[in-house]
Amino acid sequence: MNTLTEPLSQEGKSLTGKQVLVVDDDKALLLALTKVLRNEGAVVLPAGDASEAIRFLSLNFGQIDLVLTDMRMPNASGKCVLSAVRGAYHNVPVIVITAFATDAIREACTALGAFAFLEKPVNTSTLLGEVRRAVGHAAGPKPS
Amino acid sequence: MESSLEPNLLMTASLPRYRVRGVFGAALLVVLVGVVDYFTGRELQVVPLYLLPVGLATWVAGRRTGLVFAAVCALVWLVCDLTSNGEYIHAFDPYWNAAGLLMTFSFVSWILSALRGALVFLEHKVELRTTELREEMLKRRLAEEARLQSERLAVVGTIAAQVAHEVRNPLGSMTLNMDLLGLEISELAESSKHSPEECHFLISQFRQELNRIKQVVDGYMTMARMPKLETRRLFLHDYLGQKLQLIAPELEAAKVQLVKAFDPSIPAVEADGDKLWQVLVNLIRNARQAMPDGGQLTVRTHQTESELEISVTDTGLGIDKEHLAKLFTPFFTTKTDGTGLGLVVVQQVISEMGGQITCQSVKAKGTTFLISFPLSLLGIKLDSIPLHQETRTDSDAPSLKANANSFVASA
Repeated sequence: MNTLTEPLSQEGKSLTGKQVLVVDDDKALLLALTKVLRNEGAVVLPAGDASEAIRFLSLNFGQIDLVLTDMRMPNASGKCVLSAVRGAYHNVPVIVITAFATDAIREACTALGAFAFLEKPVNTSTLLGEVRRAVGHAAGPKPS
Repeated sequence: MESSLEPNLLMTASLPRYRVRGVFGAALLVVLVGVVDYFTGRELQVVPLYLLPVGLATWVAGRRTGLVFAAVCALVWLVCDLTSNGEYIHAFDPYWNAAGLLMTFSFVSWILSALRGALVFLEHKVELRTTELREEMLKRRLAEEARLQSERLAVVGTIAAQVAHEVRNPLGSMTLNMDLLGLEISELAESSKHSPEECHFLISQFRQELNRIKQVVDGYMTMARMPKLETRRLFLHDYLGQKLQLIAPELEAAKVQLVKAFDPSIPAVEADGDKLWQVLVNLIRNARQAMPDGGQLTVRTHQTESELEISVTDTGLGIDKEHLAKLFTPFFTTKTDGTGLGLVVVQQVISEMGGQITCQSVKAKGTTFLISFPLSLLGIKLDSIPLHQETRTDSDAPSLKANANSFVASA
């Protein structure tokens, strides 16, 4: 289960040199995610909505190693991000982090090729665990 | 003598005393007419007068009695005719005439009894219908109350998931920030040169997110537990005038000019003044925020044939068309610090008061929120219209509280 009070494991800067696109309309959460990932040495591109995310994807084609996205956003939802990545950037894993974690949404995300599905609020060690796993996986063939 | 031929609406088929008196009266009439007939002889025909007892007897006692009386009257006429000094060409003639009269009287009696029967039947039907109508009205009113209740519950249910969403986001950032704070504290402990700035920043983020959660929960509770309406008699314009006076300084400070356009034909109403004001002040504050550089705010009341309208208009930024559709959606807000619940509560309160709210807006020109209530729900009786408190005394107060049944009761 997701306990919120586990201490951070000290694995050092495990994401050095990796570029991560983070998409969430909640500014405070976006900032927190950015800080956590930067602490691990990643280069973070924060996006406030799906269209900004897709723009970043096209501008930084080939350089983004991971996408972290929310589902419920104004104008276009996380599904758009998922579809965009699946359509053009097959190798990039997408981790969905959402407050709305119903089975239906989980299945839909898996069907659209999400690498992992996390429910908010997620603690730092769980988040980093999944992120490291995704980034490590990206080196090999993408799981279907 | 019960000579009334007027149908008595409360009369039913079996009221023996009435019947006996009626028959007795008819019998007396027969005797009277017979006497008149005898003395007028064949000079003056008084045949039509026989219809009186026949009619009365039929009306009060039914067809059979009527037919009996028809026969009796024909007989009386025959007797009078035979005893008068008249000559017939054939001896058979008076009997033929009597038979004709018998048929006429019987026919009239028959028609009358049919009419009477139809009348009784219709009365019965009307009574049935009225009872049905009353029951229907009661059922409708209960259904309406149940519908309002379930609508309220449905809204509450719909937003339960959204509340979870709205609370989980701040929880999410707080969780991550807490871990970051932990790291900062370790760094601070290790090196005296490390700045505590980041620590303070993270803590302020915490506070902000806690506040957010509190607001969401408060807003949700407001929506979920709406206290019952407490209506009282209200002189609308006096009341609104007073309340607007209280927020006038706030509007002045924001360079907003307040314009009151009150319809003078609006009488005293039965309404929950506090709730109404709660709604209006919400709309007025939104309007003020839409006019950051000042502008004009118009509060208007208007009475149409069937409705009371209150509207709040501003000359501010206006609302996008896409946003207009979502205006009353829970948690929808264009403000950075908004909860998105203000207008939802407004709509709920108005719905509970039996009214409706709509919004019209033109980008960069302004927005109007229009609230309308059916007059019947406000207990307004248009024939006794007080305009201001000074011109009337409470003893002339119109009867209070129109409810769904009242128009049936007075019909």
